[in-house]
Amino acid sequence: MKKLAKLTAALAMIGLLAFAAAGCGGGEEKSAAATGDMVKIGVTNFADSLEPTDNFFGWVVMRYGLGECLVKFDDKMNSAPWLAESWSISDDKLTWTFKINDKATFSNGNKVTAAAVKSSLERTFAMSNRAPTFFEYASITADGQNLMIKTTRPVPTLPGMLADPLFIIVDTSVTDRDYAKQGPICTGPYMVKEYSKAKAVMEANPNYWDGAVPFKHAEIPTIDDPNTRAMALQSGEIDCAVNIAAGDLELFRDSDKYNISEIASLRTVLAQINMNEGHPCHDPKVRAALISCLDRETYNKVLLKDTFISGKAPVPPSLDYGFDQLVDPNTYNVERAKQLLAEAGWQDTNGDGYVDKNGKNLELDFVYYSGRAELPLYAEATQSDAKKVGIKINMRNVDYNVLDPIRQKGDFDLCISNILTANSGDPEVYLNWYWKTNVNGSQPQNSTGYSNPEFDALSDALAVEFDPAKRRELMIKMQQILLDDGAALFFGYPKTNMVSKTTLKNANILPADYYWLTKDVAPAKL
Amino acid sequence: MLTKKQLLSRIVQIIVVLLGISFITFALVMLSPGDPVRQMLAGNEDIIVSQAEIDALRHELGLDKPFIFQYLDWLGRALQGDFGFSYMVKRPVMDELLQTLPATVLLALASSVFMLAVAIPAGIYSAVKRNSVFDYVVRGLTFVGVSIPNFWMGLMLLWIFGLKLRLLPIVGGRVSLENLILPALTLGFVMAAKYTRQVRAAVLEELNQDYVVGARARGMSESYILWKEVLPNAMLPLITLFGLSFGSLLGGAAVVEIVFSWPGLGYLAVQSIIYRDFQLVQGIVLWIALMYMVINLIVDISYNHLDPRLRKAGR
Amino acid sequence: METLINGLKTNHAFAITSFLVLLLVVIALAAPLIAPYDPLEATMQNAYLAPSAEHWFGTDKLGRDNFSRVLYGAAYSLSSVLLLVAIIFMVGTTLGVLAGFYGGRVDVVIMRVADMMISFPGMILAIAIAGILGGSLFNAIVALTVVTWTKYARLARSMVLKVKKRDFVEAAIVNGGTSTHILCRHILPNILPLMLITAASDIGAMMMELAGLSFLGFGSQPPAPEWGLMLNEGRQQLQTAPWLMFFPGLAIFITVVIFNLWGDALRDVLDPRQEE
Repeated sequence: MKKLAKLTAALAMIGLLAFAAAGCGGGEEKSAAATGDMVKIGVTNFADSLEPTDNFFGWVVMRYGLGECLVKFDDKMNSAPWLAESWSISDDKLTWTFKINDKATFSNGNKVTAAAVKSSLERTFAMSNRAPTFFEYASITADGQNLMIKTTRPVPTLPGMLADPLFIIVDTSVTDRDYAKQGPICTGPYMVKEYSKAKAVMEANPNYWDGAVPFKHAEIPTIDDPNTRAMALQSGEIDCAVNIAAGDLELFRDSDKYNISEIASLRTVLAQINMNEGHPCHDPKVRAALISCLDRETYNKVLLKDTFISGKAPVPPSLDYGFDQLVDPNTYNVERAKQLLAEAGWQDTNGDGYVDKNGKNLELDFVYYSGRAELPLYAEATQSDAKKVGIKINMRNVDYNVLDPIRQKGDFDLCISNILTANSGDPEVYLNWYWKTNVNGSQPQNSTGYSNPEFDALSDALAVEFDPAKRRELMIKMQQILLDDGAALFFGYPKTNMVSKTTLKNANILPADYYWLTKDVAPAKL
Repeated sequence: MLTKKQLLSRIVQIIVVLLGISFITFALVMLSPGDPVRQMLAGNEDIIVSQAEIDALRHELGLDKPFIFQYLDWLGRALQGDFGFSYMVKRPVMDELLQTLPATVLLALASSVFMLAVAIPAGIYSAVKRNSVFDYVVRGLTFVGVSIPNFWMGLMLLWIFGLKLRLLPIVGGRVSLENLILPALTLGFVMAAKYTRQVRAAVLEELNQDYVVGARARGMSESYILWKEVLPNAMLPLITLFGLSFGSLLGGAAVVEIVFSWPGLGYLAVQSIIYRDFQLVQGIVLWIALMYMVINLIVDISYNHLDPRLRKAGR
Repeated sequence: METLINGLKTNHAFAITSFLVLLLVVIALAAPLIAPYDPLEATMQNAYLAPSAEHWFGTDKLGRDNFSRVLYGAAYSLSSVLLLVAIIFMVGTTLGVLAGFYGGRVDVVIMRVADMMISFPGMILAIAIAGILGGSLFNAIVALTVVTWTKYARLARSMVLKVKKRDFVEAAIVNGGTSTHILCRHILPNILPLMLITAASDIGAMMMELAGLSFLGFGSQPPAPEWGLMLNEGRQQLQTAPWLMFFPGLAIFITVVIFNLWGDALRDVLDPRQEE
């Protein structure tokens, strides 16, 4: 007995000590090193190589301020000049002429001529089987600083496509480099000194063509865990962090110490709804009931602490495709949802809390993955809300890498994704991927059985339309059709953010996901 | 001494086990629903990847062949010293293993040193001063040590030292003294708890032996008995145990390494599993098994050298 | 059994820890009665509330009551760990007894496989198995069984070999007793106590391993109120809602302490030779 008492006392003491240690926290702040000498940015990184044509690794080359394209996207996702200072299209809509900026040089001092750009683009097409999915060219010709690209069929969004990091311009005359580890010779403000997936060490490009480079050195450590990233910024180990998690963002608000740059991204979190024969959602009323029983506004405002915008339409409000004028017939309305279910013949006859029909409960398989923190949250919130109208949601957590096969086989009732809606500045591809009628595998991502001839007709018209205003009108109509059909469940649109210490300026995030460390990120005092 | 024959049979046994393990791992990976190709193409970025791209890459990597051929392919190359190529890190598996080795060894050594520095004195002293206040405190602490989930303790330490006190870095992913402290402390504390109990029990057991009673009767001093008689005998069985622990530390302490992003074998193992990078998974698993068995063999050999009774028996 | 009852009377440590274990079980069973809220019911407007009189342990990311979740977690975590230990115990003991009793080829096969498993650090293999098979409580249990049964098999085998040499067993063999008879009558009763002690004192360790797998995402899946999983979820709010990480961790810790103390006390009672 006495033994035990002593033991308990010892345990209690240890507990107290731990608390005391935690209590006297809050040591002094380490000062940031943002004096123009060095900037450190904490990011997530999926790339183990800097070869821009390999997978999606070009994204990293651009995010880290190493490589640039002919064209970039501005904060409204319009195509803006970068290495190309202007461009025009011929009357037959097949030949584009890009005028390459005369000042532009590679980091080794070589001039960026049209011939160099031609060679770089040809390299991309030779090395990447993804390039032809953007466009196919009949010929590329170079004349001084003028580059002519002739495509095989009209490509209305070609400049926007060339803004994709896959088409980063590299100096192909340098052949003795290991692109994976040393990176290619590019035109960006920084050059890589050491690169691994864990950390990039970089220095200023002495031959930068577009003004002075603000920092002599830059380091980008990979901190994949969002909490750790937040803690690292708080402790001063980094000067800037890309994408602080929902829960942690408030730590950096109301403070003179941090700048938060936050905008709606180009992503949409949506759940595809399987409406093939034999699935409960085949019935439009069930779909409408499901969508309207979910309090999506609370998910985004409360659960995700306003780091997401509430979902409504396929294309996020960051892109100007009529978000505000679109009408969602299935806004949050629990009573309507119950009524719709009753109309569709679903009623709770056995009192188990779930509606049933022909002796079977209304159960839906919800496939999600946990690679992104908001996805399990949406899934769990859906499960909880749906239960209130008697729909049983069975959650199925899968690895990200098996998600696509599941999606393509249609092995789900609901399947969530966080998807980039405008790879080339325009949501055409995205809308077709998910909702254009799938004829014998022509649209492998559309396995839900969704098919609407009206939508398909608009999509065909869009494919050959060059006038931006008309394209916009077409895509607004397409979206309204999807909303009216209850074609998918649009949860929300993530905002992306970049949080920096006030010792930095211009650390701004843009809608396009690939501009992080730019030439504009500079020490605040200068 | 182990005889040559015994040694040889041990080595044969190691090889057989390695073969068995490699086959099991291979089969497991094949059974799994994951798709390495998709992971390779897009990471976790939710980028739309076309089926044609996936099929092309799958073919290029030979992942469309039947399972048994893939295994034999792999085995054939492994026997020639080529353990394949990791597509997660884009380099040969062997290179990646060798590169991870220093971090793993460092963490294993650091936590072992911490553990020994705590466990041996604390264990001996609390055995000698049995039922003293010191003994109770030590036993209380060891109870905490064996009962605390190491990941929870790790997170708490991170919270206290990284965030509240700001003494140590939070960002892991690199090998440095500052980054070593917390994971070594976490692992070391839990191990120290276990070993303090072992040391204490072993010393207590020896203290009750007849020869101790005899030595006391002959008027030997307590410290002489303790240092010359009790400790050598008490420590001997612990060597085997320690060998096992060290062997498994060299295999990486996955959970703790994840909490602190320590780039050791355990961390690599979890990453490679998530990525379905089966060449790398295979390499890591074999490597861990090999280290573990070799350390055991070394321990057994040295045990035979150290134990005077076994030596005299001429075995 | 008598020893146990006797132990309760004479050994205070055993009495007290047994009481605590019982208390845990009662809490787990009575969770629906004690818990102030439904652990799965989300009142989303109340997400991330700090501990208060209404929500003793605060609320989680969906506005679920953390105290209720921790309570229900006792039922969930306890039953899964007991199931795990029971499975390991049965698989390991059965194989060990078979190997020891029949010897020969059976022995060689079983023990070779066991050697293979044991020449391997368990957690890594468990992570590999659970990770590769995909995260679920079932897969986590399978994984831990695969890596832990060898310990029981070896112990059971060595004890069977010892018991077999005893006079009464040899006599029964000479007298032509059937294998089943000898196993049930003479061997099992002699090895079971020690096997049970081992199982009892493993509960704490197994609980941590299971929680560890859940923590890595290879075990229980949401929305289950399992402690390891709750820690995994709470970890993301380490800074803004530390209570989500603190309480489930504390629950695991306390439970493991109780089971470890109980295991030690049980050993003292049943197997007094092994002093402390």
